[in-house]
Amino acid sequence: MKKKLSFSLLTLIAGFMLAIQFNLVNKPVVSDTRDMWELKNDLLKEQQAQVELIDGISKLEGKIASYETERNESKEELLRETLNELKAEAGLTEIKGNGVTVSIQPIKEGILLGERIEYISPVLLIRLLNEMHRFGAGDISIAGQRYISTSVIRDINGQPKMDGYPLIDYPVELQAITDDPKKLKQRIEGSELMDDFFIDNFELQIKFPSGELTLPAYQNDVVVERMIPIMDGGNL
Amino acid sequence: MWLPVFGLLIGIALGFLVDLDIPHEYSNYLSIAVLAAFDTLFGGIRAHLQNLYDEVVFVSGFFFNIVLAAGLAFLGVHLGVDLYLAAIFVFGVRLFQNIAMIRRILIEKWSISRKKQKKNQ
Repeated sequence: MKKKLSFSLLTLIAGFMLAIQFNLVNKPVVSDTRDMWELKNDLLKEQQAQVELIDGISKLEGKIASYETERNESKEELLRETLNELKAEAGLTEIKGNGVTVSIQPIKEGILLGERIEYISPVLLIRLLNEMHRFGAGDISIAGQRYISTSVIRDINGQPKMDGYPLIDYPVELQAITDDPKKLKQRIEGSELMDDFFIDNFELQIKFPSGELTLPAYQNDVVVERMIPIMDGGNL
Repeated sequence: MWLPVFGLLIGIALGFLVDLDIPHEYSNYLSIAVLAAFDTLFGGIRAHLQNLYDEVVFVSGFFFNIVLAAGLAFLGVHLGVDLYLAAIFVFGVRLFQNIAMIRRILIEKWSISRKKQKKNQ
């Protein structure tokens, strides 16, 4: 019985397939009996549908074009923003903010005693800058010159110079922008910097400026050596 | 004996009633599958008459042959070789052989029964 049942099931499937195949092969050919006017009407309907479709397509294409331009513009905008951010970070823009001014000047006692005023040692100045950065100072300018990451402070012909600009007019004033001016001032005052400068007959005066500080932009060109732009994907 | 025929009829009726629309591209596959199915069915009938019928062999052969034939046709289409012709040839030859065997067996049985009847008379 079970044999018969499975056999019957398979014959059923075979019959089903046969019928479908038969249907497929013998699809009746529907003859077109429309007359000329009916054909014209149908053509008109199809043409209307075509017009609607073309209309829709052109609308969508317009939308795509507008999205494209928006995207391009936003890309440009993004690049510009990034460029500005990077410029600000590199110190190529003017910057405003709260901060402290540190003025370095010879101690009066030395002048009174008739001692010859030495120039500020570049090593000492660099130490001061490092310590200020360590104490939370952000952007710094020295004597109206912006100090950036490629700036050089060194002794040239016996004079301390930063990026070729001499630091010999007293008081030499440092302006530092920081989030917490009070803390920066206290930390400088509490550090050994005061003593170090005092040994060289200089004194540091730390003040809060009235209002916001404005640091000038770096004026020279930033010379980048030994750096190659990385191409797409990080391959050189 | 009548149940398989009944099943076949029901299947045909179902196929006609259900207006299943198969894309014309697949008609080749379906035709070869039908051929494979009928080959297996006649093979089954012959095996039954020879008392060699094995249900597992039969059922598995039914589906396996259908799939194999359709797969061969598919491969042929993609290789640009009319491989379905090979399947049609094999199934066609086997179909004829099976039907011939069935005919002979039936004739044999019929003649034996006639002889018996004559003896009895």
